[in-house]
Amino acid sequence: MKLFNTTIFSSLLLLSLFSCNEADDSNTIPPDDNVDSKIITAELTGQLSNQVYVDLNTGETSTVEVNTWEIAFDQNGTIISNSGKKVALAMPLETDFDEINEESVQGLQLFYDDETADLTLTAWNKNNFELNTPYILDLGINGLGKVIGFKKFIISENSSSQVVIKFADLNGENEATTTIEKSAGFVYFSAVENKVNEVEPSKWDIVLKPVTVRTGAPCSALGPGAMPGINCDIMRLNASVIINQNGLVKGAKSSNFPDLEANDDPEHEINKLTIEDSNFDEITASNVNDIEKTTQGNIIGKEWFHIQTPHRDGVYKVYSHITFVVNDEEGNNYKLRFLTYSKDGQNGYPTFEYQLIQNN
Amino acid sequence: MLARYISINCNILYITMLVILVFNFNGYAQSERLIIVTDEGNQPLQSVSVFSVKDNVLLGTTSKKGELINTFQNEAVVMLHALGYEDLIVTIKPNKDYSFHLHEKIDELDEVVVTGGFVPTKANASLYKVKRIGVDEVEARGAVNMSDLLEQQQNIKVIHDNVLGSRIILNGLSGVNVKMLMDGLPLVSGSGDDVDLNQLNLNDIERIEVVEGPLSVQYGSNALAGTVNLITKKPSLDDPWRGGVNTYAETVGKFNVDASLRKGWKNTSLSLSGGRNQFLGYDLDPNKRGKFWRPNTQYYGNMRVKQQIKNVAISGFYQQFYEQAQGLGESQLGLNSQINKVSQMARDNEFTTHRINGGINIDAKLNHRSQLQFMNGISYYEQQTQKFVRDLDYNMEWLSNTASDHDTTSFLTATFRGSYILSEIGANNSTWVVGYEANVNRAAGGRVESGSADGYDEYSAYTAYKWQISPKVAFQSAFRYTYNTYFHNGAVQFLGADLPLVPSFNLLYKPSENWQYRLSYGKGYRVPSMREMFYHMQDQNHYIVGNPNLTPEVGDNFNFQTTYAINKGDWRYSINTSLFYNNIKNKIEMMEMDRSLLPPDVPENTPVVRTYDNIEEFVSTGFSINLATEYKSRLTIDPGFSFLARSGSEASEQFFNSYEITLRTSYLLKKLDTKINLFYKFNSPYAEFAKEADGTVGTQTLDSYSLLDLTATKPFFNRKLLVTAGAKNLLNVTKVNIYGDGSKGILSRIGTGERPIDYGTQLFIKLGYQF
Repeated sequence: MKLFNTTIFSSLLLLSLFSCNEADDSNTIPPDDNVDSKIITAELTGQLSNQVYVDLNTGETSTVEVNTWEIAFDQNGTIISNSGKKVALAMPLETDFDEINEESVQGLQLFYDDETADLTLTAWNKNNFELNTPYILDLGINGLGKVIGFKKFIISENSSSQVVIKFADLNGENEATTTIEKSAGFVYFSAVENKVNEVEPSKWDIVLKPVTVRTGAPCSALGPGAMPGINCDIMRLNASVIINQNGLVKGAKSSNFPDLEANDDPEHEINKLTIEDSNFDEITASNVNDIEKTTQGNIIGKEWFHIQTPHRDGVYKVYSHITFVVNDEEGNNYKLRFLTYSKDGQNGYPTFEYQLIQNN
Repeated sequence: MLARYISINCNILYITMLVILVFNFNGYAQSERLIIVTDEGNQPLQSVSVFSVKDNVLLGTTSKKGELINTFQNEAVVMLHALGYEDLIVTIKPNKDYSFHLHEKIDELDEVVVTGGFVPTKANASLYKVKRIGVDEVEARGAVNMSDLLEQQQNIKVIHDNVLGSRIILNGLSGVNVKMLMDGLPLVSGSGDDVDLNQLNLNDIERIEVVEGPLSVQYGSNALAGTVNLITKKPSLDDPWRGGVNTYAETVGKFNVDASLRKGWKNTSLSLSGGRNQFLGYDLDPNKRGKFWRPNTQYYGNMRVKQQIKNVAISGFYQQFYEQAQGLGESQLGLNSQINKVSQMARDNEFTTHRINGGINIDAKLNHRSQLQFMNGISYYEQQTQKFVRDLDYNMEWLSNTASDHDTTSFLTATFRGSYILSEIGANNSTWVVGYEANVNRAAGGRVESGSADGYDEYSAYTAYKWQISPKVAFQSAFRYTYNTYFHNGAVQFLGADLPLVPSFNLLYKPSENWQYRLSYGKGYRVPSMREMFYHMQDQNHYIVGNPNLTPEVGDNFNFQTTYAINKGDWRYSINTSLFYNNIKNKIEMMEMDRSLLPPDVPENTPVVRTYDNIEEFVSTGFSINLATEYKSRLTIDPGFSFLARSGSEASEQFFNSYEITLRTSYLLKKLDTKINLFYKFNSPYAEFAKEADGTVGTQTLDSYSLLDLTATKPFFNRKLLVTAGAKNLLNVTKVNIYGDGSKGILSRIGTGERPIDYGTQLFIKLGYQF
């Protein structure tokens, strides 16, 4: 009986020990309440359906749905495509607009804007885009990730004042010719709605947005066995941060661990670093000019976070030990560091902290 | 039978007991009269318990020499009880010597089975080969729920899933095709269409009966692959208060306790039981917050009342089960929008499950050869899923504000069955049964598509005639006519007659006491479940929808079985063989859905996009052979082998083979009164197959693995306390590889790679105290 009692008692004791919720003891540091610091959360959403422009000077943000445009034009003749929703350019074999049909797109290579956002490396510009030549535009996906389809089109004018574009479904339906008036910066055109949409605010320094990135081998390397999207050229969206490509905004990346590269192994050294290892406080007016800055669009890019294994858990490590410097149009230097990629447990909501670097 | 014996005064009995105790403790001896207990070979039996039948008080136990001093002052009726032997009830008079032989327990062939038969039958006279898993095996395995118990059974696989729990696969067919019954009444399945075996506790269960092959005439839809019938413990009339407490602990983090109480009066009996199970959850990766085996806490209670009014027995039962389980997400540093701070955040699912079973059964004996039976039961299942956003650093939690993160889905099955049984027809005691069954199914909740039918009903009439041609030969033909309120399409029919008629034919031939031959043909069918037709689940990672155009599955099953049993000296052998062929038309399977058919509001990149569809044909055939060897009830060695081949339209007539080897052995250490049990099962590689979009057959193969358990059972305190301790999964199997080029498999549902199969080696101890 004693054994029996002892067992019951110890079972109950054990039960009571385990009944409470275990607390997770991670050494988290909430952002310090420095009044000079601003904190911004960009609501890209779980489906990465928004792009968020930020003016660091005013702290103003402008959130726009990604699926409001496919192509944009500036006065210099640059054409960008919306890599935030997998818009791509294809060059059909047909030279006659009317001959292009639904089969024409089969086997064509799709070209996307470069991840760097370099205006000379857009799908259009790097392929020596020509006027009066038919092209096929992959309209990418909508806000729910659904493929929208293709349009064939011809641009007959791309001057500093306007663009004239003729486009239609691949089967020839819904043909339209539109003239788009240009103004300062880019004008954003939706081929789905056949209209220009307001996308970009008049003044911004960085934009947080999805970009199309390739995972898997390039199809060209596989030869006849290539199945785009299946075994090669699998294009995914990834959150990225791009600095304004107007040539007036510059950026830099700085950390105490410049040799460590982003990695998905949670045990890797870089993934053990925390905000405690940040050099954010060390970057001041006295040394910020020593940091070399560049106009490379993705200098911040995806450098500030990385998915961790197992990937299906959707856990990201945010490299808050890295400090980014952004030099805006007015010559102000700002230092930024990313704190999180999720809000209330949901990915797609990057939060960063930034400060104007002032002379003391 | 007991009434024959003269009852004695309780007080005298207590005094007697005290005297016995005193005598025992003092070793006081004079010219004593002895009660000697031996086995059939005249070997003395030690530790035989002698109980008073009247009030179940232990009067003493036999010594090493198998002796107990006869100190009885009055005539008394006692029961002699020893592990491995049949109980013996005898009358003891004062001042007399006695010598008793206990018969070793013979195997299950003499025991009564109820599944498949319209009246309870001895196993060797049943037209079906009924596999009985008794309480001994439950004890020996330290099994808590059906998942533990079935894991190592021949022809059965138990698949663990982190969302749907543990599912059964019987002869290559998944749980939807296995009819789960409790005392003959259907149990409603869970959210995943399979009953989660972890939710079926064994504390109220006396035995499990498994019949392979269809029993659709008896039980209607779903009994295509086989039937698993849980037989509950029933209180008996005229029985003193009895009860018990069990505790169980396992190193993986399981802590269970349950208790039961029962009493039988002259015409009334009552039993109550209940318990609590706690599982802390387990993952092979200790760093993970979300566990593959989800943590859960279960509470359950059972009540059973029986009233005998002359020749009518009325019994009622009520069971309630509650489970709180957690599907924890991985945490990451994130923004807490409520307090604008950065901390460890996670999104967790909380699952609350209620199961209620209740019913009333009436059994009326009209005369010595005819009776009426009515069974009316409901089985209700409800699962509530809620998603919480949790801040682990600031200890905050709130419900996610996305509506699709939350859901409550419920399923109800109500069964009304009545039958008239007429026996002792003709010279050889033939039996005729006629009956009806009404089955009502309802579903509700967010994951059942709105606007769909909220359920369907099935009304059936059945009849069976068991023609006992001679004492050696019995032939049964049985038919069920079914009307389903949803399916009028003649998918289930007999001989092209366009009548929804399900037949079965069984032949039992017993040329001698040693041999039994069983030959059967049965048609089985399964109407699509509510889930398969109307389920609608859509979240970030899933789009799973039912298919309202499904047609019922119909199967033909042929079965041939032999049993041969013989006693040779101290040895007893029996050999069972079984051969079956199963052909299912329109089998319903979950399929990868054509993504171009996705509705506009479903993201193209949703990882899991599935629906249900009928496949033309599924064939399974196989055989099994089992040897049961027993030596003096001390040693048992039961090896088994079974082979299964599956094919069908999805396999382009190519056969996929698998086999299993099982070994169960036990040895009773008489001196220590301890039984050592060993359970072993080898599962060969097992392939799931399906046609791919390009017409080729893709496979996903679960690699081979073996399970080995070693346990010991020992009674203490005059058998009031039974301790079972042991090790489960001694070979430390954890993950098993799934390989192949196929796009789906019912085993994995999540693709290839390593699949968690078990926790690895775990130790457990179970204490059962009975009074």
